[in-house]
Amino acid sequence: MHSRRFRHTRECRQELIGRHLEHVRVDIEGATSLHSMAGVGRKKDGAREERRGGEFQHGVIVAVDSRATAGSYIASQTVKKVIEINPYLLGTMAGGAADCSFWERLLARQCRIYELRNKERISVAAASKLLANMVYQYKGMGLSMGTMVCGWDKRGPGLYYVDSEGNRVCGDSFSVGSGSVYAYGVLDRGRREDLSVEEACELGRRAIYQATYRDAYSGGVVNLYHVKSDGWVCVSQNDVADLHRKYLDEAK
Amino acid sequence: MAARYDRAITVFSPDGHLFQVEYAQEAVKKGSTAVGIRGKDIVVLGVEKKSVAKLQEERTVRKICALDEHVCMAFAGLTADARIVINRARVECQSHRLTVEDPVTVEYITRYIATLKQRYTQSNGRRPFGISALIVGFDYDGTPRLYQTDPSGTYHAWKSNAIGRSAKTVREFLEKNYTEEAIATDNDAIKLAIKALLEVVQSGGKNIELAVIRRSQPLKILESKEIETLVAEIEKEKEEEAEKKKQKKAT
Repeated sequence: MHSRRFRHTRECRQELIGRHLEHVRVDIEGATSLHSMAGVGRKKDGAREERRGGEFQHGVIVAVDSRATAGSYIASQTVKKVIEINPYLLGTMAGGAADCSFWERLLARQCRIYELRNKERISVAAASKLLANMVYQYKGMGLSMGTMVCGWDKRGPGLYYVDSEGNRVCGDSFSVGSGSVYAYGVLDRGRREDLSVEEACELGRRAIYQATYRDAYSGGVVNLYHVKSDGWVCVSQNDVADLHRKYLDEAK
Repeated sequence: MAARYDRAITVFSPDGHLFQVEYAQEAVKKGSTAVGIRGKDIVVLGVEKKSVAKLQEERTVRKICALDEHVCMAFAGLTADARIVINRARVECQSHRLTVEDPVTVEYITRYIATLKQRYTQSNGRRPFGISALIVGFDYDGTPRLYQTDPSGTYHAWKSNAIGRSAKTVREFLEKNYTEEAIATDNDAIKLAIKALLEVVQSGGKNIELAVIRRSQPLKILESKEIETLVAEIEKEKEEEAEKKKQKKAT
């Protein structure tokens, strides 16, 4: 397969990237404009929203915020950052909204075809690999996508982080986005082997809340999903302001 | 190159036959017999070994090939065609491991081989593969499987089957003798395969090549000594059966 990666040098691409997105930034709402002019890279990005996913014995908890920004302008407070690939696979969205939703919908199509051909559900490892291989062909061409593929297959719960750089890692918990550092603090402190479902949900909610508290580019509502052995369920949707009041009252 | 040909070789006849495919099946019927048995914890493949010329090295004539650690196949028909199919199947097994992070199921690789064969019955300038394959192995969840493909590209699952020359005789033998108790243990399954082949093979154990896969273990090709031992056991059992019958008749 002819790799298109090597047609242009990296330097050339980077100039184009910034300019390309300048134009797009105005038109498309929210999460697209996540490259700073400095270049493609999670650490340099200022404007990613953040999400958090964690595996424990009862499945996978996925918590996301819902803010989309264009520079310092809050484009939307009600973005759905969890993409429902199929009834037992979830994908989260960070980076370009168009890239994320397009590629994850394409992944949903591939997963369905796999299911029909092989008469069994696709594994989380295979689904994340399909996605990673699909976007790798466009590496260096300006795709911006950082996603966590979460699901439950015959080997148990599965959580993979996949991004447009070609990274694909399996893990127990991830936090992605501009506010991820704040969420990691809460997440790593509260993570235990024997969390119950409610405790884990509360941990996820708290982690996102803390991130929205400190990170300007995160906010809105906290959407919480729980992936169980028979599929995912949407657990709750809490406005961050309500959570703020609740935690403040608890502290008193 | 297929692009240069502008006429398909495999075309329908007026009464709906694909003659090239049927001729390919005839070529299969000329090949040496192969038998496959699906046991409970073991799958067995046996082939009739053609007698090797005096100066020929025996090891190069192998009709049972591993496709992956847990899958192997035997074929009947044109050896050269089989080599191509086996190569493609081996690559596909590894490709599947890479993209899906799981070993192939026996059904998946059989479907791949069957699709490959079907493609050659519907392409420009190509003839169908002249082989039938018996594909055996264990799935990831430990279920033993046996599949058979033929030149037309169809595939079916079997409990036990035979292909090649005298396949009909062997299949009839298997239909009579394949019972749950006949394959109760691994050894019994192996002996059933040998018994089936002995029906049609001329000079006994020397002309039989046998391979087994046990659950979670790689392919094992039995040595001629082991086969001789088993053949001797079978002969003894036959004599004992004959003795018993004589005694019954006498009394």
